[in-house]
Amino acid sequence: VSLVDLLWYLPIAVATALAVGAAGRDGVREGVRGSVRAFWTLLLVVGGVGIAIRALVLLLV
Amino acid sequence: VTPTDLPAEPDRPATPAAREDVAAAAAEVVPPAADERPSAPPSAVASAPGEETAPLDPEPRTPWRESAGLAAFLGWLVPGLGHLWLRRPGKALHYFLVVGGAWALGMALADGAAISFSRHPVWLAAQAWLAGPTVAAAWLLADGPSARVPLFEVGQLYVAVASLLNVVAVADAVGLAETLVARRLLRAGAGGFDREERPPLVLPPALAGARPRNAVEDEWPPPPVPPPEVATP
Repeated sequence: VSLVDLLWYLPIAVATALAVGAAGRDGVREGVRGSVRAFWTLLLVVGGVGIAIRALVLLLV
Repeated sequence: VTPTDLPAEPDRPATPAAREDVAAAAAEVVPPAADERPSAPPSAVASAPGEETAPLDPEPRTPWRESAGLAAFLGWLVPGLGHLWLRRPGKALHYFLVVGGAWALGMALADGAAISFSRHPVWLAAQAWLAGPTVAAAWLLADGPSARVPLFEVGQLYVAVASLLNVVAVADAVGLAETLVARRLLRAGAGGFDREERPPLVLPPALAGARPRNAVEDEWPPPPVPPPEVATP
C-alpha cells in the first residue's frame, strides 16, 4: 500500500466527518463546523498512526 | 437515629424461613384471567375508605410523529428516513446523501459484489446496520459478478463504513425524537418543578432528629421550640 493508495479512503473519511459532525447539531453552520472538526480529528489520528507505523518500520526493519 | 429507632418494614418478613414461606405463597398465586385484567390504568386511587380519591396524572403518551423507536426503525431501513419522519427534511437529505452516497460509491467500486450472504458473511455484521439497501442488493445481485475487481476491498470497506455510519444517523434521529418529546412536555407544563418550587422536605417521625442532606448550614439545627406553658391552678 502506497501513500497514493490512501487517497482512495479520502472520500469515506469526508463522509464519516460529515455524518459524525452533523450528529447532535441542529443548525447548518454548527453542522459544518462539527464536520470540519471531525475531519481534522480523523486526519490527525489516521495520519499520526500512519506516520508512527512508518517510523517504526524505518527504525526497526 | 439508630437502626432500632427506625420503623420495621411491614412487607418484609424478618427471618429467612418466613421469607421462604412468602416466596412459596407468591409462587402459588394464580394470575387473573385475561378478561379479568384491567384494560386501562385506574384514573384515581382511593387512599382510604371515606377519603376523597386523588386523581392520577395520565402517563404522557408519545405520539407516533415523535416516536423514537419508529424513527430508529425507519432510519435503519433507509438512511435519513427517520429524520424525515420527525419532520427534519434537511437533515434527512443530508444523511441520505452522505450515507447513501458512500454506500453507492462502495458498491460501484466493488462492481456490485460487496454484499453477498454466501461469499462474504463476516461483512454482514457491519452491513446489517443499513437494512434496506443491503437486503435489496443481496436479493437483486445474488447472481452478480463474483470475480474481484482491483478496488473490491476498497468498495467493500466503503459499504461497511457507510452502514456503520447509519448507526450515527439512527442515534441522531433517536436523540432528535427525545428532544421533541421533551420540548412538548415543557410546553405542556409537565417539565417538573424548579429548585425554588420544590416542595418542603417532610421527614418521617423516626428521622425527625436526623439532619437532611440538603439542609442549609445556617438553618440547622432549627431553633428550639419553647415548651407549651402549662396552666397552673
